Amino acid sequence: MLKKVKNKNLLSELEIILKEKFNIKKKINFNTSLKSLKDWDSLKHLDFIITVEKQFKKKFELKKIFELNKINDFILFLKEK
Amino acid sequence: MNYKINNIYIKSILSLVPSIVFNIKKKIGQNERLSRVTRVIGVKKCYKSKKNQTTVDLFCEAAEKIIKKNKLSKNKINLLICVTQTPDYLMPSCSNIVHQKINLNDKCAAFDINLGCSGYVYGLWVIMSLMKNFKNDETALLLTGDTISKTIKRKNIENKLLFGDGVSATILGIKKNQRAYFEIGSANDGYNKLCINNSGLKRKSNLLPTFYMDGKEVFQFAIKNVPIMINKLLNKIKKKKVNFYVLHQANFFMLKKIFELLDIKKNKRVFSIQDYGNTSSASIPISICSKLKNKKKNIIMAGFGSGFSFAACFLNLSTCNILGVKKSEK
Repeated sequence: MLKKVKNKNLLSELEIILKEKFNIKKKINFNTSLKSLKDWDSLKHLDFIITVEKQFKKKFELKKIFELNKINDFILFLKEK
Repeated sequence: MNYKINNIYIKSILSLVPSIVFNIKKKIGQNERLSRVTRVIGVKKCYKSKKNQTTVDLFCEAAEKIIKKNKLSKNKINLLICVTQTPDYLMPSCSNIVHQKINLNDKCAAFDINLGCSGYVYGLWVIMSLMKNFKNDETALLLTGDTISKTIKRKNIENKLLFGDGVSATILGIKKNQRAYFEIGSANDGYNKLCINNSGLKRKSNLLPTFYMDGKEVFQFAIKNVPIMINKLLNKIKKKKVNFYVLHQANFFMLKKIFELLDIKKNKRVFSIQDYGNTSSASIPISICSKLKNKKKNIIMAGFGSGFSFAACFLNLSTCNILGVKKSEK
């Protein structure tokens, strides 16, 4: 139960970033792919990575940067210790 | 492949940018799209060539300046190589035009290399390889750079800001006890991920040459190959011997991540992208000229880009006359 709550919190935090910084109005869920978002490109992807790194104080491994695509990929990464 | 070249050194480096400054805030005002370019890529300003100012024009100006500043005899320049992907013509080569315009001797060989962001290191490797039989007072001239802005569409505002125009001129000479190490290669995919469409004879109707880049693929290519080639060089030389790392200025975020992966100390990382943008094969010499003018030490350079192609080298700049980044007076 606690795990589910934690995941939902992360989901809503990522949703806020997408809404406020990337002007994404679409409702997102765990399966939302970043590529499917309107006008998403590599520059936005990198900016999203930088924003998430800053907000959650976690660094993405270089090789994984473009492997992460679905919102759930980010949530799993953010939960890793 | 790896190569070791002895007894050839870089005598002098000069960089040249056009006089038109493309400043993000002044030109177009601030908006989210452009802030993103500054935040991610790191560019704050760059330089654009005038409408009728070509790569050859910049090459000639840079060549004349470096020859004059070093008081070189044009008769002693026996080899001229131009590295560019924005030539004035498909035929003849830029080097032949420069050769005539700056009035070099008939015995000076001249030819072009068609490479982009890996071009400076490739150019050094080719020119050093060909200088083995040079006499002590003979020199070679390497000119690198592009006027890539001419191929970027007006609406492609992110790339308009990212890519700056600029060239470099490098004089090489013969000197004992000099060693340079090279790692050179080319990936077996990606030729169509970074290109100027309609720039050669394979073109659709009368379309103009247009720059195209698949940012994600270029990023993936770079992070896969750049750390490997730098590590290969570091296997041959002691890491503590390297004073500075000058990588092609493609993207601030990407370079920062590569430096972190290689565990390179912050004071050894060189960045110039903020002031000049991505200037293709001129970005490494522009970085050296703008940031290492009074710090002539052992450096590792790494270039990577269109092709996809990549090249890195380790060499000593302790006796190099670094002349800085000059603004075009034309």
